[in-house]
Amino acid sequence: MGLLVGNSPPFPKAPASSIGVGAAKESVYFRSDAQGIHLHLPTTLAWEEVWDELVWQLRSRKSYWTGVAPLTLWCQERELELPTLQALAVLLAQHRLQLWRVQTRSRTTAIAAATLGYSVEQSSLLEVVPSPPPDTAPLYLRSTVRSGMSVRHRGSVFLLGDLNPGGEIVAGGDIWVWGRLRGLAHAGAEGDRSAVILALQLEPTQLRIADQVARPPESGSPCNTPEVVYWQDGAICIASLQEFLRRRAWAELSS
Amino acid sequence: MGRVIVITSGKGGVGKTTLTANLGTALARLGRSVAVVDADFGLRNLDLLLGLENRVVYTALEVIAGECRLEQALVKDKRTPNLSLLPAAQTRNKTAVNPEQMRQLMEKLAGSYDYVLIDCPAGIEQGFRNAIAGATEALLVTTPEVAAVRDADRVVGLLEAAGISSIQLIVNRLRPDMVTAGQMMAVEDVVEVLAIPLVGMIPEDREVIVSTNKGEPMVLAARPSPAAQAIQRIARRLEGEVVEFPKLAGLGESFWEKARRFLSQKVF
Repeated sequence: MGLLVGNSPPFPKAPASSIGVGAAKESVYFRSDAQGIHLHLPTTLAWEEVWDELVWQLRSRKSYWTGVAPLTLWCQERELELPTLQALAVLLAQHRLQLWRVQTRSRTTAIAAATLGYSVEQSSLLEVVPSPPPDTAPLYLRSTVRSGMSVRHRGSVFLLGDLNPGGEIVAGGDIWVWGRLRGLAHAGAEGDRSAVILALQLEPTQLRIADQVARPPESGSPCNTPEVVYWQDGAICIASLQEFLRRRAWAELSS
Repeated sequence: MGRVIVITSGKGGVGKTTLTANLGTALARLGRSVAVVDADFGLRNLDLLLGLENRVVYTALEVIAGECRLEQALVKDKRTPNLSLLPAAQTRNKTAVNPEQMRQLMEKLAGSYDYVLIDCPAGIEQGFRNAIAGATEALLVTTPEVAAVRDADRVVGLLEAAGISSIQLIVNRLRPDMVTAGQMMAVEDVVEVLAIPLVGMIPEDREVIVSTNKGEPMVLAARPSPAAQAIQRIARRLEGEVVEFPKLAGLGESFWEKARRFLSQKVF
């Protein structure tokens, strides 16, 4: 409860690629449209990292689609050999995603995809969507975000599970942690100061809202009630959920 | 098919190799056939701890290269008839093998042993990827230190991503007096962060250093020390037996009830 320390140095305006959800381009991500589900693979990460990220995302966003959905894979320049592509198709099938089309600029990948009988898109036709439209729908995750994991999403993130120390969630909107928040949470990462962070148990390493950074007070034991973190008058504040709601109701009454 | 279990931690020096040697011996003494595999290519130690260093002729590398048969590389422990060691190559490094080769090798071993225990190197790079490739279960070893738990948490994530869903926790080098004094993390704190089932807690024990230097697993002692007894209990739990966790001196009475309640709540 009360004010957090360390809010004086303003959060540096870092380039979008290093912090903020703009970096979402660099991680594996899904989007959907009338043609089905699209899976975008980052081109710079090592394949092992891409794979781990993909497995985790598939596991934790179980309810994202229903029934068997057709999937387009966007590989860009990434080279995928035949066994790799095959393993990927099997993994996707386990999560009821039917790979049918592969977009690539790599010859190796195109040959592998054609051999396996997928439709191959090598032209720039598909590139009418060069940078994907921002997906701002809330992201629902049911998992533990462990050390070393980073969840980046342009909308709000709802986590049913713990955010462990060393793990981070960066969201364009609000962050809800239905569990213990012990890692780093950055809400309103694209500049939205009205974003809030809510946790059943708040013991964070660091908290960020928009361009403001705060760390928790050194002393004081964690309180066992749900708490809300919000931005007010240039500072990051924490209040118990009850107090937060009471204040908000009061503010609405008096305005 | 036998169970292929990787013993891993992320952080070094928490007791993976000592545990592999002793747990393998303890399981073999329960009448199971056990193969312990040293996956720490370039920094092999498991043969030392088992006192089998001078009997190593071939290593896993020669088996993979097809220069010898698997049976030729396996070193049988004379003190423990059901126990065999598959040594790692000391002269090469961790890039000498790849995950697919390890997977095939472990599959072959699982065909003829009840348990295959893989001693994983520290870190999360290539050596780690190789070690977990053929495993279907994992034992995660950590000490009650913030850094070790942080690394262990990272490893749980990587194991889950690799499709290993059965991950059990062993908290090693526990000092009940320090926990009571509030100077060390309690087991329940560790379990709370990692959110995986606890299969063993091993107290800090001077006997470990003595037995390690002698190359004689401490579970073989006529009068096993507290740490050796703890490892024997882990072996029985792996066998499916329900073995109560003894109350470690200085820990609160309701500790295990608390841990159990926490685990039953934790379903994801």
